[in-house]
Amino acid sequence: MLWLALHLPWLPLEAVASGAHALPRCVMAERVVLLADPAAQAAGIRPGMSIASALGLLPALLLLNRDPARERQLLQLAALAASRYTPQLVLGEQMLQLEVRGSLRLFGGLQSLLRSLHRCIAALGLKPQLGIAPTATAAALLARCAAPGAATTPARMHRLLDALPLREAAPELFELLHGIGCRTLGDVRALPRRGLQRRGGGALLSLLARAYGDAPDPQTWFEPPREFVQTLELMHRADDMGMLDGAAMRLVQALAGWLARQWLAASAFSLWLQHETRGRHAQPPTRLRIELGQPSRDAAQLMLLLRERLSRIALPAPVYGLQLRLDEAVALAGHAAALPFGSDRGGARWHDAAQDQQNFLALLDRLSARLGAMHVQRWAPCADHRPEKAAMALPAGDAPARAVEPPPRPRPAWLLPVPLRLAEHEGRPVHGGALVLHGGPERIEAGWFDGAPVCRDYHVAEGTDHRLRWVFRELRGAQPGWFLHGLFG
Amino acid sequence: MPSLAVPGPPGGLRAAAAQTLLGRWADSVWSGARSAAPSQPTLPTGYPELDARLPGGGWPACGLTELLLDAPGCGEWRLLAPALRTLTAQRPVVCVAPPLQPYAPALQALGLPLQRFVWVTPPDPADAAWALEQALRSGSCGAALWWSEAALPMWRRLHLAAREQGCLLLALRPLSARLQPSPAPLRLACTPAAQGRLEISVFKCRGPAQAAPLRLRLPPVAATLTTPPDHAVARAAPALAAA
Repeated sequence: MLWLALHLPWLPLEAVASGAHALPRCVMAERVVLLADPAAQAAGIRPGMSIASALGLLPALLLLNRDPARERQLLQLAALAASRYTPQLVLGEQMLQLEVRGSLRLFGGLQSLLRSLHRCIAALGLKPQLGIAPTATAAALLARCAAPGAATTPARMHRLLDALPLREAAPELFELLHGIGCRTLGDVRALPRRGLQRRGGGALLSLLARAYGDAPDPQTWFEPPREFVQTLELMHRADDMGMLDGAAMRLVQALAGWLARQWLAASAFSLWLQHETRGRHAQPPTRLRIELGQPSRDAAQLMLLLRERLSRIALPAPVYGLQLRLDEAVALAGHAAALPFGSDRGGARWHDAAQDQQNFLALLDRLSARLGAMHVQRWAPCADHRPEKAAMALPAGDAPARAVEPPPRPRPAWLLPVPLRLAEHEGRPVHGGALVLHGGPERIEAGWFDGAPVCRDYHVAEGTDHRLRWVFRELRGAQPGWFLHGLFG
Repeated sequence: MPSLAVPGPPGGLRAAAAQTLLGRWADSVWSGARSAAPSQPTLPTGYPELDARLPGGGWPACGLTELLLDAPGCGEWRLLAPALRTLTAQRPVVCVAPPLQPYAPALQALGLPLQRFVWVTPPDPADAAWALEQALRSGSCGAALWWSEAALPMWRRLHLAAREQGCLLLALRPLSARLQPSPAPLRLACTPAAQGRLEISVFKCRGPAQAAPLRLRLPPVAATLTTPPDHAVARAAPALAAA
């Protein structure tokens, strides 16, 4: 077993703080300072101070109330985000414990897993302290004391635990043990067990036994929800999109972790923006639905699509909360890794076709998210003789249409959406000068079967500027005469 | 009168030494009479006469190339089709802000695989530039085509993005853009001429200036243009009367 413990000492502040703030802040519980941020600490504010003394030291201090419910929720989001690294996860008091022995190979070793985990936790806006040890309790102790170094073997774990200072490791018995000359956990272990047990050290002894691996250390695993619906209330009302970014990032990280744990990839998800629900300004929630052509569980890609969409809409009302809901997901066991030739930049570059294809689909998603699906298209030919019906636009992500034989006669590369009526001069059509007809006519007579009949003689015509045009003469219908229908590119 | 020339070996020997030096430093010394050796790979245009005029013998395979046309329909698709056929065999092509509706049967007849073309029609030039930059930076496109009227300051940025990602960026701009400065290393102006030809003047390229424009014969849009018109009716009228 190899346990990774993430202690979140700043969680009370991170749960109630809203983004970067210029003022020094502290979190209070029961009219006493619980946690002060570095700026407040620099002014001399310590945990345990009363509000009056804290404000006396620093009148500009921003006081925030502790909110245990928000802390639990943020911890759960962190657990969801971290569950991409292992399914074996334990939630504790301001603490996440991950059993990662089975994941080391997948993530390319401990160092690379730690780097990735750090990025993921930092994206949630959390600053963790890390402890690594073969038992869960030892990892938690090391994390709480911010002990440097990773204990990957039991012997090394013993050394690190022995050196832990008592003040952080056993605060309840600190006075008693300090009085008899103990400074570290190692000193406590050297004491006679029975005497310590009699003097109220039973809990500490069993903690040590579990930490050192002398007693079993059972854990209650974190169970992720069956469906992904996560809500995050904002601390302040948000009037523009920039203020939603941090909260949306927390939700998207959690979604990505949840998807990775279930081996799924999102193909559609929705972000609900919750507005004021009662009073004069009550407004139903706004829904942003994002569909992905290429299902993905990459937090960066999901966030990018969400940002594109967020930057394009105007908020109907201030936002008070966000809800992220997964609508559709597909199974995805991962992408095939490319052979490591791609790193050679310049010169003959190795193009990994599968990687290119994935990048391209991600690009189409990004373009459609910002411009709208009707602005990102493919054109495909259709089997119809009428020129205006012989081509259709498809969404770019769609599968290619059925193959259609190209017509044997010339067709223009550019088609006018509506034929342009041409003037006539001495029986010849005019478009920027008289046109000279080349070849033809090609008679197209079709559409009698669906109520949009055409009966036209098409010609290729050259103008005085030598551009080639596709013109036709309407043979029947209300307006006989010459029309321009396309340009040969 | 004192000679300004550096004293050295007699003429014949000096020329030979220069040749040796030139041979040794062929990559670094430009001899003035020929087009500069391309620092980037090129892509054959499919027209040998045009290849001979372009530095490196083809379209630059990456970076910005400008094609100036006075209006759509000058023969640009027939000019570009061979190169685009080669490119789309590997990677897709993104076309941004086409001036009119591209007509699928015609492009298909030119041999272009339509499922490899994506058409982006952004509402304004700023969005077009954004879309283009996304396409270039994704590194997954073989070429990007932009029909742009606007003189925008982001050309240089797009050029660099295209060069970095090894993507051909073709800007199709109006002839009036000829007088505007541009970071494109290769700029061509195309005007249609009689008998299905396209007059191409390479007015900016790496290498010596080219005086006479090239009159390139494009493949005819149809065989019928060179043969006498036939009056056969292409499609018979529906046989309703027979019923």
